[in-house]
Amino acid sequence: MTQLNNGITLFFSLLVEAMPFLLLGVIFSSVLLLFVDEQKLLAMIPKNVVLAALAGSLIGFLFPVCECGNIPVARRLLTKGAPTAVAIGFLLAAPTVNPVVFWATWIAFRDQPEIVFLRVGFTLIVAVTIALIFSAQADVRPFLQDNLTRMMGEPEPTVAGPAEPEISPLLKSGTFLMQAPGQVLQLDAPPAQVLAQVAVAPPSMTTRLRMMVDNMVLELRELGAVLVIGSAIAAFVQVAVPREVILGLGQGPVTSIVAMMALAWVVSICSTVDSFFALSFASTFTSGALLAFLVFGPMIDLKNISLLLTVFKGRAIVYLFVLAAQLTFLLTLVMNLYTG
Amino acid sequence: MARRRPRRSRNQRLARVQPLDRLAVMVITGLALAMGLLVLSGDHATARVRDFTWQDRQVGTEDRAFLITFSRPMDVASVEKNLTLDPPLPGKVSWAGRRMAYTLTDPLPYGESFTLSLDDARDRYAARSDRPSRFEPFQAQFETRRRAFLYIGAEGDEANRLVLADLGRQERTILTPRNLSVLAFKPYPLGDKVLFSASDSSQGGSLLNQQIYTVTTGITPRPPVDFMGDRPPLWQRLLPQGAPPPSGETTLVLDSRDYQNLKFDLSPDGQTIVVQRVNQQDPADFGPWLVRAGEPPTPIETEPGGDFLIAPDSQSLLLLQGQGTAIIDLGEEPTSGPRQPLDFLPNYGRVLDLTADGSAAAMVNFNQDDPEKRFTESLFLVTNQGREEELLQVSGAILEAQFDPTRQVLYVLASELVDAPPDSDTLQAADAYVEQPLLLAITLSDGEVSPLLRLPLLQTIHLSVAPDGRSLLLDLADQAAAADSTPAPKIWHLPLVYQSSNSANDRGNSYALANTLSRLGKSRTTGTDAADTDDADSANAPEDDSEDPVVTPTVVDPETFPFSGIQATWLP
Repeated sequence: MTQLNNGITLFFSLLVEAMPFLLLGVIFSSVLLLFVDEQKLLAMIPKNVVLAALAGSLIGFLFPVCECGNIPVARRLLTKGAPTAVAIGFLLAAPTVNPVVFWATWIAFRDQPEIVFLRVGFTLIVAVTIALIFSAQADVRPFLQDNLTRMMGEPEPTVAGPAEPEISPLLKSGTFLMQAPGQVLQLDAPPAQVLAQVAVAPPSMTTRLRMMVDNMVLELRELGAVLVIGSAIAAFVQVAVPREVILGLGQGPVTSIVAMMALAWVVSICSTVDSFFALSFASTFTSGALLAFLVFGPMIDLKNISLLLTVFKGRAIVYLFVLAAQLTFLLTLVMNLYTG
Repeated sequence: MARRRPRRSRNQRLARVQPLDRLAVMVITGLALAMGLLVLSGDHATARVRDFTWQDRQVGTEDRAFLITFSRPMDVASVEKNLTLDPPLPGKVSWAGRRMAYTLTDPLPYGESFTLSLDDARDRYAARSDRPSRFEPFQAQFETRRRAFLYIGAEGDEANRLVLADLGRQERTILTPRNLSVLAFKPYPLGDKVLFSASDSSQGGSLLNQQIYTVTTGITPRPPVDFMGDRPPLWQRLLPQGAPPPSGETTLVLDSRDYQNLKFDLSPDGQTIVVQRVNQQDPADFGPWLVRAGEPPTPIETEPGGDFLIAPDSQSLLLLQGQGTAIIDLGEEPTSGPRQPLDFLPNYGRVLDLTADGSAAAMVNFNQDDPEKRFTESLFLVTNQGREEELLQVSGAILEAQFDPTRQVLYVLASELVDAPPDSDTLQAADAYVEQPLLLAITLSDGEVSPLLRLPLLQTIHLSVAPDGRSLLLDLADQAAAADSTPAPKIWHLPLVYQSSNSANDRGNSYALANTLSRLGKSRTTGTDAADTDDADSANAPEDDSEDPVVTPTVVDPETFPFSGIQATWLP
C-alpha cells in the first residue's frame, strides 16, 4: 500500500512538474507553425553541417524548454524542413543549454562553477556529435514515425545530400504505398497543419491565433496523453527499483557514473530543477558522476522516451539513447579518472 | 496491388539498412571500445583538497569550525590520521561525503597564526580496492584576529582621543583628530571601524553637543566565508581587494543640530545603531532613535525609557522602561501606533550583558519588592527558556558584568559595603562604610562565585573581557580625578588561567600589588575578606559536586601598561 502511495505521489509529481513545460513547448511549436516562415528559418540555418548542429543546439536560448517541451518543438522543426542536424541538436541540447537551466545550475553549484560550465560544454559536445551522426542520413524519414513523415512532405532537393537520387525516389514511392489511404488521413489533419502545408496566402491575425489555439489543444492532447503514460512508467520503475538500490550500485570512479546515469534515467526529473536534486549528491559523488547525471538526464529519460516515440521510430531512439549514454560516460569518465 | 507488394517489401528491406544505421553501429562499437580501454587504463586522478574555508583568513572567536572539501570521497581514517594543525587546536571531526568539518573544542587564542597540513591521504575508491592512490599534499595558513584594544587616552597627545593599542605589534595608534573629545565608543564586529561619540571643541561643542562618528582602525578584516550563509556574488570575489583604508578616517554619522545625542549602542552585526536623543528645544521629545546605513534616522515609537542594549541577534532592543526591561523589536516598523514590546521583564532594572547566542542575560534586580533585601542588589541569570537564577546578592552595587565569549563564565564587578579605612586627613563617623569593589568570576554551570581581585576604593572601574577569554582589561580612574595631583587612570591587563574547580583551592602563589590591587586568593570555603560575598552566594549556589570538571578562572601576573586611559575595550 505504501508503495502504491509512493508510486502515485511520484506519478503526479512527475506530471505536475512536466506539464507546464510541455504546454510551453506546445505553444512554441504552434508559434513556429503559424508565425514563422520556414523559408526564412531555413535561410538562417548555416549550410555547414557542424555549424547547423551547433545552431540547433543553441536554439534553446530562444526557446527555454525542458526535455518534455523540446519534443513538440523539435518535431515542428523537422516538419518545417529544418535539417536533421538542427532538430537533433535542439532535441538533445535545448533542455540543458538554455538560460533557465543555466541559472538554476548556477544557483545550485555556485561553489563548484566548473560543474555549470562543463554541463553546458559536455552537452554541446554530445549533442553536436549525435547530430552529425544523424546528418549522415540525408533523408531521415525512415527513422520517423509515419504520421510525421506524412506531414513533412517531399524532402527539399537542395537540403538533401548526395545519396538523395538513389534512395529518395524509392522512399517516396514506398511512403506512398504505406499511405495508400493517405487522402483520408490528410483530411483528418488539423486545419492549421493543412494550411501550413499548402501555404496559401497568409490568413488574418485572428484566424491565425484561433488556429494556433486549435493546434495547441491538439498537440497538448496528443503529447499530454503520452506524457501521462511515460510518467506512469517512470513512477512504476522508481517504486520497483528504489533510488537507494541504484545508488548502491556505484561507489567507484566508474560505477558511480553508471549509477548516476541510471538514476537520471529513472527519476526522469525535469532539467530545470535537476541541479537541485543533484546537489543533494554533491558531497558524496565526484564531479564526474554529478555531470553524468546533469548531462544525460535531460537528453533521454524514462518519461520522455514515450514522447520521443511520437517522433522517432524505436531504432532511432535506441541510437540516440546509446550514443548519448556512451558519449556522456566517456566524457565524465575521463574527468573522473584523470582530473579527480 | 499485386504489383505493388514486391516493391514495398524491397523498399522496406532497403529502408532497413540506412547510412545512419551503418554509421551509428560503427560509432557505437568504436565508443564501446574506447570505454573499455579507458576503464582498463585505470585511475590516474590525484585526490586533492578543493577548498579550505579558513585558508589565508583571519578568524575570530565566533568561528568555531572549518570545512575542508576534497575533490573526491576520501578514506576518513587516513585523513584524520594525517591532518595536523600547528600549533595544535583540539577539535572534533565530522564528515558529510567529500566535506570534512573540524569543530574546535577550545576557544581560539588571538594573535596567533596556524598552519594546517595534510601530507598524505587516500581516497575512498583506492582504500576500498586497496590500491595505491595519489594525493596532492596540502598546506595552508590562517591566523586569528589581533590582540588589540581601544581606549580613550588620558595624558599628553592622547588626551581625550581614541587610541588603538596592538599588543602583538607593541604599537599604539591615535585614531581620532585632536579637536574631537571622545566620550564613548564601540568597535564594529570585525574591528575595521569604531563607532564613537565626541564633542567637537573646534566648534565650541560642549559635552551636551556630542555627535556620533565612525573612524577606521586601519585593520583589514579577512573573515572566513560563512559556509552556512549566502556566498558573496562572484564578481565580488573576483574583484581585486582595494588597499586597506588608512587608520583615522573619521565620518560623521549623526549630528546634534536638532537633537542631543545622549547614549548609543551598536548592534553586534554592525548594521544598526540605536541612539538615545532629546530634542534641543523640547526636552519632552526624548527617546531612542534607530540609525541604519543609507536610511535617515527614525525615532523608535515606544514608551520613553532609560538605559538600553541591542540584543545579540541585532533585531531587538532591551530598553529599561519604568521598573523593568522591555524587549522591543527593531524589525519592520508597525503600520500603526508605537512598537509594542515583545516581552517585558518587570523585576529587572538593568541589563548588563547577553551571551553571544542570546540565550541568557545578566540582569540586576534592585530588590525593591522584598523588605528584607531592600538595601541589596541581586545579579540574575535570565535565560530565554524562562529560567531566572539568582547568581549573586551584594550589599553594595552590581557595577558591570560580562560573559566570557568562549566559556560558561560571567565576570562581575560588584561592590560590598565595608568599614571605611582610617584616614588621617578626614574625620569619619565610627560606623562609616565605603563600597569595596570586587572582581568576581561566576561559573554558570554550577553558580560558583570565585572572587578574583579586591580593587582599590573610590575608583571608576571599567571591565572588558578579551574575545578569546584569555585575559581581562580593567581600567581604574580615581573618582575625584579633577585635581592635577591625582594619578592618571591606569589600565591593567589581567591574564587568566583556567583550572578545574577541584584544584582551584590550591592556588598557591599570591600577588601582592602594593596598595593598588590585592587579590582575594581564597575560595569561598576559606574566604574571610570576602565573607559577605560568600554568605550571600552560598544561599544560592547549588551545593552539589557534579562530576563534570568545572573550570574556574584565576588571574595570573597582572600588569599595568605604561600609558593611561579609560574605557579600555578589546577589539572583537
